Amino acid sequence: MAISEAAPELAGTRPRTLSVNWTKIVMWVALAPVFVYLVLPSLIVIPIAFTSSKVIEWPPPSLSLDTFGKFFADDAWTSAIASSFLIALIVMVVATIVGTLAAIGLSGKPFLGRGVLVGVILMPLAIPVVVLGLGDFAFLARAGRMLNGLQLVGTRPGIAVAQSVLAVPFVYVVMSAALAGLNPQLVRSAQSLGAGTWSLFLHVYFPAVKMGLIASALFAFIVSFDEPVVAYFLQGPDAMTLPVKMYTDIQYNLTPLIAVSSTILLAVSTTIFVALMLFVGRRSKAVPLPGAAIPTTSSSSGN
Amino acid sequence: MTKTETAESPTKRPQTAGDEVPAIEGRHLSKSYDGPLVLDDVSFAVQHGEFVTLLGPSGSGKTTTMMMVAGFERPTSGDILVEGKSVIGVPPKRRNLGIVFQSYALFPHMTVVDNVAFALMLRGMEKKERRRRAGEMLERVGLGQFADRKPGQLSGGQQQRVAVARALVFDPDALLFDEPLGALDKRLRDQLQVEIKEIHQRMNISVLYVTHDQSEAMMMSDRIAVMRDGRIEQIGSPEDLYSHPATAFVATFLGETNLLPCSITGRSGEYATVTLEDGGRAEAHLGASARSHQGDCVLSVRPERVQIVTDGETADCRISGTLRDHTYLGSMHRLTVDALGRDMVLTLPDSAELPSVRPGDQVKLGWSRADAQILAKEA
Amino acid sequence: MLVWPLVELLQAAIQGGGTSFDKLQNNPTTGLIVKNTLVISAWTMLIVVVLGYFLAFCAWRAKGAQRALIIAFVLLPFWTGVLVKNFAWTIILQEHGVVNTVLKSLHIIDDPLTLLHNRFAVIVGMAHYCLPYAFFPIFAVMIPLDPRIERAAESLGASRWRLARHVIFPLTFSGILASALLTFIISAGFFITPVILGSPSDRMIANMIDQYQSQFVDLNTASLLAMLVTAAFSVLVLLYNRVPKEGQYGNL
Repeated sequence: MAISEAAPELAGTRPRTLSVNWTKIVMWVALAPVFVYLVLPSLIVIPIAFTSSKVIEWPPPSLSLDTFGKFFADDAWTSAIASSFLIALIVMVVATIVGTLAAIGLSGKPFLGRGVLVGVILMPLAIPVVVLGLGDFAFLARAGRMLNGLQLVGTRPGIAVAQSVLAVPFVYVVMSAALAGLNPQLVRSAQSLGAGTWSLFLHVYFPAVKMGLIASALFAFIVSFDEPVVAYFLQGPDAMTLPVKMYTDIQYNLTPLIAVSSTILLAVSTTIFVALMLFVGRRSKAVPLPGAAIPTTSSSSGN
Repeated sequence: MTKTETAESPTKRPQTAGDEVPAIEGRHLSKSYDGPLVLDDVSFAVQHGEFVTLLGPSGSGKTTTMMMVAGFERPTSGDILVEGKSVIGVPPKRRNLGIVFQSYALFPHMTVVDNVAFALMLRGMEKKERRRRAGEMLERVGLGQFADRKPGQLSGGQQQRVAVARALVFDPDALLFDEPLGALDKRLRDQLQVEIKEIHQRMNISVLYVTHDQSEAMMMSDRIAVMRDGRIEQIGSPEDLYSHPATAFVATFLGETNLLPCSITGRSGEYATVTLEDGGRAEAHLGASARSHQGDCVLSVRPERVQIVTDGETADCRISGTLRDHTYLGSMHRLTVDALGRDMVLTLPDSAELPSVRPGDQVKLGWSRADAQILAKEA
Repeated sequence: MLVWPLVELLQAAIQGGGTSFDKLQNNPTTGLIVKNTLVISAWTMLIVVVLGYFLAFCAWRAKGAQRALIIAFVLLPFWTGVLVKNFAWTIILQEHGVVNTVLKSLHIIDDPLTLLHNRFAVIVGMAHYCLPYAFFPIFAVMIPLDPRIERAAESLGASRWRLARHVIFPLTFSGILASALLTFIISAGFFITPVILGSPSDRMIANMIDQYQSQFVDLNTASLLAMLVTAAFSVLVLLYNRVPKEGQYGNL
């Protein structure tokens, strides 16, 4: 093997293959702290939830399930769990239906005013949630007065309706992508074979967008489940979601019970994320990567 | 380990043909990525002003070889010399080679003239002067009026010419082309082949060209290195490779050929006698791979060298068969003959006088012994 | 349900009219809050654009499984609820929190650092939230880049620094711009994080809207403020939509 002595000016230059490896090593070493920064907040709450201590301590003195016991014995927290799940389920159903209908209605050929409609649907992504929260409060208060004093502010249905507005853009984006992936030839060939509206929907549209529907529903659920701001403005004695209860308790009553609530929220989002990945991510290319579709259109989604 | 020269960075030599130091030389290059060799003892040289093509199917190691010359890959062993000086360990930016990439890799955010002037800017040339030089280069490739466009506004062929101009403008020691025409349609490819060839001749620059297209290689090259599985099978002029292929792979990869299994019964110098499958004997030229080969061989005859012979005529070799098919292709006739249990193909120019045979007729085929190559049989 | 709440706010804002405006103008904290919002958002933007660019560049360079790993890490904060993240930061940054415990056990510090309830904590928490939003616009403009472009520049004589300055940076500039605007927009609307991680003097504009609504019970002034914020945001969102996205260089 012939190795040549490098020219004097090149003496300091590393052989190229080696220098590539160095870049790689430097890159991963530099990435490590960033990874810690990204991951730590998602994992740190779990050990605290299993602490034996009555206060938040790091590291937890020992592990126990006591805090979990206390959490589920506390009516305020269990009511918050119930509120959160109930509201998220309503949002899931409402937002998926509304968002899907919007996507179907606005798909196909462009028409006058379509841009405006799309803008209105996506608007919640571009407006600070706090503005929406305040608006929802004012609106539901007036609507309640108009409907013979019907209580809307401070109720679970009130929060659910308001949060649906936040979830619709996500459903719309996912379903539009799913519908765009549908081959129009398929519709025509089904029609030529004699398919009517109903069988067209059942055998052509539904199978094509099934994964999109599932993804939309999961998205809508999690948008509501993690949403604090609108829920904060519309909260009431019987309508306080987990994030709102946590917001209050972190400020005035910092106990390990919050860690249990965090762990529950984390478990639910993780389950949904895994479901999305296993279920949808693999089978359908029409469904965008969770998050990948969002940043290009969204701004704030509850912070 | 031997120590070659300690010297200043490679400097340019006058480009005169016949200089004994090649512009680019690869010596016993091997490469493995923690496993089998992807490149196995590859040696070649590009003389000054010469156009050398690395030709081979994908995975043959031709692009790896070129990337080593360019400096983006490092050989596991072996040496690369530019103007007689080893460039192992010299980064690409100091090798002074112009490279035209597959898909061109033009800078999409720069105008055409800025793309071409980029290398001059890096060499510290003052703005007015480098724009003038880049403009001149664009004129030479016929794109003077497109200087201020962005590459995205040009056609594929125009982008290709910008890439050539960009690679030429800093007066490199040689030009490297990595499958530059792969993405283009046939007509444009033919046209650009001519253009590249013209640029090569006009600028008298050394070129190392990589392609998998044998007709492209034949049309442009002074010499072709046919590569396969990380090795060079044969280096030679297009005529040499076509009429005297060293191996059965080269014979089939460059143009069409008929391969007839045979075994050598006697050797005499350049020629040997073989026995064909029907027991018939024939004399033919000994190809490189059969010279010291003891096992089964094949006889390779090009379709245009096979003739239909009548009883009165003589030929060095003859076999008989049945005409199966006759196709007219415009410039030529293509005949398929069932002989020795396989298809023999022969082509006759359109102008030739056609023998009065019809499909199903018995025919006798013959060829001259100089037109048949005996080559080692390949699995 | 989409538009009406905004109409409602507009109406209330108009109702309050000049009176509300005077209130805002005479409120001594208004100036501070606007300044807070701008300064905190700018810092967050700066940090996440730098980190996001670094992550996007690494992800672009890495292929296959390594790229998927980086993206998975970036996506993680997306899937953690806001309150979970904020609570986690209080555990990490508080006086006897994770950071102080670790630093003390390594004998780097003797007395715990004050890391929580200050501007530093707010920016750390907000940057964590915004990082994915900074990453994706930059990554999106990097993906279509032909890696051969780097080789082309090198073969023409470019050093790493020149390559970065003349090729990679200009080609990804629109992504940086989009990412900066997007994260600034998101940051400026933060509500939860300044309250939980910041001190009372780190409140931002969203908190002021809440204060008028729930503390002063002055819907008209809250609405006026909300409308002003919406107007300012609309300008930023319009700007964001005008930033060229991928495919801006035509077919290459």
